[in-house]
Amino acid sequence: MKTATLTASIALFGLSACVARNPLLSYGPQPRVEDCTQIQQATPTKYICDGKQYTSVQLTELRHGTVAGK
Amino acid sequence: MKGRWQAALAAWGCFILLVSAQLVWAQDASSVSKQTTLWVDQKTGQVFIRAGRGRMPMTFGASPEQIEQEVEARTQQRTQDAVRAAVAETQAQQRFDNAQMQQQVDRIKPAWASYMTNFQNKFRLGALAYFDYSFYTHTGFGPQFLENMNPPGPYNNGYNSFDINRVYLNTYFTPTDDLTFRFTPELYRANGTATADRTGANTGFGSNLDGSLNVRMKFAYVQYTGLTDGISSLTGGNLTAGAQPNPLLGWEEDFSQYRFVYLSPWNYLGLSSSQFGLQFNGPIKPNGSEKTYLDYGIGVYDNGKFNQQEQTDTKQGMARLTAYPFGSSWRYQGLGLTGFYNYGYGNVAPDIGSVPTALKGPIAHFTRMAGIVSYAAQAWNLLGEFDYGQNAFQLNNLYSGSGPLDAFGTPTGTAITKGGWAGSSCAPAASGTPCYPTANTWGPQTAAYTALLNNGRARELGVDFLGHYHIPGTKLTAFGMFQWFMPNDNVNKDPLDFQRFVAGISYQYNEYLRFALDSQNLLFYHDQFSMPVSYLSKFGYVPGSKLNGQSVPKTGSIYNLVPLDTHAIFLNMEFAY
Repeated sequence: MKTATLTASIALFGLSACVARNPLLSYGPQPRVEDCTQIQQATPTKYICDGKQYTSVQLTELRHGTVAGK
Repeated sequence: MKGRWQAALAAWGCFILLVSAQLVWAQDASSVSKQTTLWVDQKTGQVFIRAGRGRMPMTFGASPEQIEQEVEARTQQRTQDAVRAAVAETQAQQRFDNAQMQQQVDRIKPAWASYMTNFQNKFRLGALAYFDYSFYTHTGFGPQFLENMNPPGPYNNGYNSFDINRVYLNTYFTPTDDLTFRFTPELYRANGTATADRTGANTGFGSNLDGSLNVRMKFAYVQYTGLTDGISSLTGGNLTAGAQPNPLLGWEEDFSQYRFVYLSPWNYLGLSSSQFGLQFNGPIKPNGSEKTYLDYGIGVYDNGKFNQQEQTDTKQGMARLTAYPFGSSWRYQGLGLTGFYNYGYGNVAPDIGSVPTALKGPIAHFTRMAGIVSYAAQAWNLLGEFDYGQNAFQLNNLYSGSGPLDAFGTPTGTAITKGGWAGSSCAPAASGTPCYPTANTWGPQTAAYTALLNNGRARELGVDFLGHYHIPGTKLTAFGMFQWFMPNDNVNKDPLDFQRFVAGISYQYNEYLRFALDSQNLLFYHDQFSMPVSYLSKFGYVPGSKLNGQSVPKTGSIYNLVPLDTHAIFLNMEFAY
């Protein structure tokens, strides 16, 4: 009985992962802030993504698709 | 033969026709104005060229008056048409001009709008906030894990709290491209008992100073970045004057990227992140290289921290030099070798600092040195550090988080008020000197720690590691920090030797918000032991002297010198804009 409940729970969790986007995974247009490395906590914060420097504001605009990549 | 005659006859006919034709000029007025009048018999309808009975005149053609009227009418019509056209054209032009004028008016901005646009381009406002929830499975005395955190000491296991570690409001004003002014107020916890105010003979009101989160100045400086722009290798150098980050901590905190979770090693030990002074920073890119090969910061500052009144007639100096042997494409990238040196004096007035004493204690000089090897890639970094210091970690640093009451002027435990104890005679305070008890107190231990840390000859050694690794395809990053520190390696076995370690995982929600779940620990790793008074005397311990009005041991040993450990679980949050 316990095994069946556990199996059902895992299946349900897996199914929910298919329905809703997993918040732990990285997604969206690149570059993404989680893939970049922070080099200075300033106003605005500065990041390096694939060797290029971006600010947090620029990364937000890229994520929203409101500006072309640098 | 017959054809020739016909051609000749046709030519003759044409000649006669041309000769006999009468010339009529196009503008011959006589032909235009001439009227022809015939007379019509009304009965028969016959037409005659002369007048007669029953004949009615019938005139053909226009009279000069009619022609004149006709011409006048046509001229008037043409004039009116021309005027109408001119008016229409003028109106069209007017409409066009009006439209142009309206566009110009629309483009004209009022003076205040122009000022605001300029202001916006030259003014930046940012915010930085660190919040956390902490749960202490084991509480103990020690340095604070983060700012504004003062958890209770031993025997308060299970203590937990929501805290605000930092709130900055960063304001930058850049009137020119090479000049920046920064002002950063920050939130801090006001600690210390304040007396109530009174007014009149019988009225009082309580103090609200103790425990409040107040606002104070953290950074305020002017930075000039054009000083070395004329030298291609030194482009980017800047001169900063005011209350500013020192050359090491800002550099190391940006490297670690986890200032919202833990303090960098020397910061934890007491080096302030903000000093009043003059500093020069910059990269060195030799021969116009795109890569940075050297990065430096050097300055002179007050001996007091940003939140202390400067009292000395000396100043402290700091210098950091980072070399990137293979060049660095972006800040920290690749292998880096860093050296840091800091030399200064205790923040006391000259009339105290200049008094010759065997053990200068807190008025002695201090030294902080760090040798760092680092490597940074986009997904991970690692830093190893060796620390060396002199008088750089004293009792106030040990208890920056929390400490026993004995270190702050109030004795703990039940004093011994009769007989003799540890070589001293004990008596009630009214008639003599009570003695510190042997148990349930931190008095003798505090006296011992003061001797070990504040004797003016303490030498510190430390080793640290920190780094992080971003888990590919996720918003998660694992991070950690380990610090091993010996507050005075002149002591054979120092009960205050400790290890601090932080391990956790962070979650990057977006560009401005980050969370971390981590464990923070402070371990005084020696097994419990006691230390003879005779040995402590070598470090300035005065047997039988008074502390908080009570005698400390004169003979024998001081027990239970190894402090209790601290273990806590933190949930940190960072907001940065």
